[in-house]
Amino acid sequence: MKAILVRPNFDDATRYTFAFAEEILERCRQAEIDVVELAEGEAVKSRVEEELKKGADLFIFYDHGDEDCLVGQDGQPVIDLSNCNWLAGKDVYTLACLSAKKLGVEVWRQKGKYWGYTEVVGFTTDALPEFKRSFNCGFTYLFIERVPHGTALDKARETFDKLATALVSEGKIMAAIYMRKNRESLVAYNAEGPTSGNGGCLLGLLKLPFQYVAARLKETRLK
Amino acid sequence: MGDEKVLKAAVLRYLEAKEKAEPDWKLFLGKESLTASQLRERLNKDKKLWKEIRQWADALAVDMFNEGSKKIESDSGTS
Repeated sequence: MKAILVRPNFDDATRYTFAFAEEILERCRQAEIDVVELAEGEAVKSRVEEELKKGADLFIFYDHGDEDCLVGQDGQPVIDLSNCNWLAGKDVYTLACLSAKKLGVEVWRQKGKYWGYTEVVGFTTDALPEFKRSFNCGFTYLFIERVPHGTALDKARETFDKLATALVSEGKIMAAIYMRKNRESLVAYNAEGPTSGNGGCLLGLLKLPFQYVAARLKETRLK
Repeated sequence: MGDEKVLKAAVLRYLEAKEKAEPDWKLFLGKESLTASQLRERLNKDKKLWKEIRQWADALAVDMFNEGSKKIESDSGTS
């Protein structure tokens, strides 16, 4: 398996996520995944596209995102709706905020598998090891244990829950609150189609061809 | 909404204690970062952020009760 790991590092938040991604690199080596790292100055659109052109099975992105893009070192998208065809048929694993909302759906429509978040991701500095574990656990389930996306998502949610409970008992309440929130916005869009429990049900509705829905509405009106 | 006021007061008190115990503590929300003091200020003005924290505090409380129920059931062999 060939992977591309992109990890910019340009503000306070990315300083932490950059460090979180170090463990992903180690996991790749452990699983004998051939990984190309695009860090800091190399985490820009031109380099990302250059590496994607060479071919990869897995695209890992540890940094900021928005509903329709993943943001690079220069503050510009490295992947957005205009070039996400590069991720067609690939596995995508990211902790970027919001990106599962639109970008993830588009990648999934193009037969990709997308592990990401539909809302803004939060973390606190009093629970960095716990947040690292939560952000990285899905990678272990998917690419080390090699379980299906639905199973990996269930296991990851269980991990988030356990971490949140442990954080409460340690008095790290804000950390627990954002662990719980992140858990809820974590999704795994599976290329094999939405199934209950893998966070894909609602996306299944979105996948319905627009023309089909429009035609049905027209039919209803005509009746 | 007396209970909401009680919860908010508790959250603000918690953040005050956090600020004293860990002055470098920060909450990161995407690109934004907030110290305990900044978060306290925001919670007094930003209804959306308060609603979010309240929502997930409620969810955590529900989780804890569910976990408690599971534990009781498994301890008494009634699951």
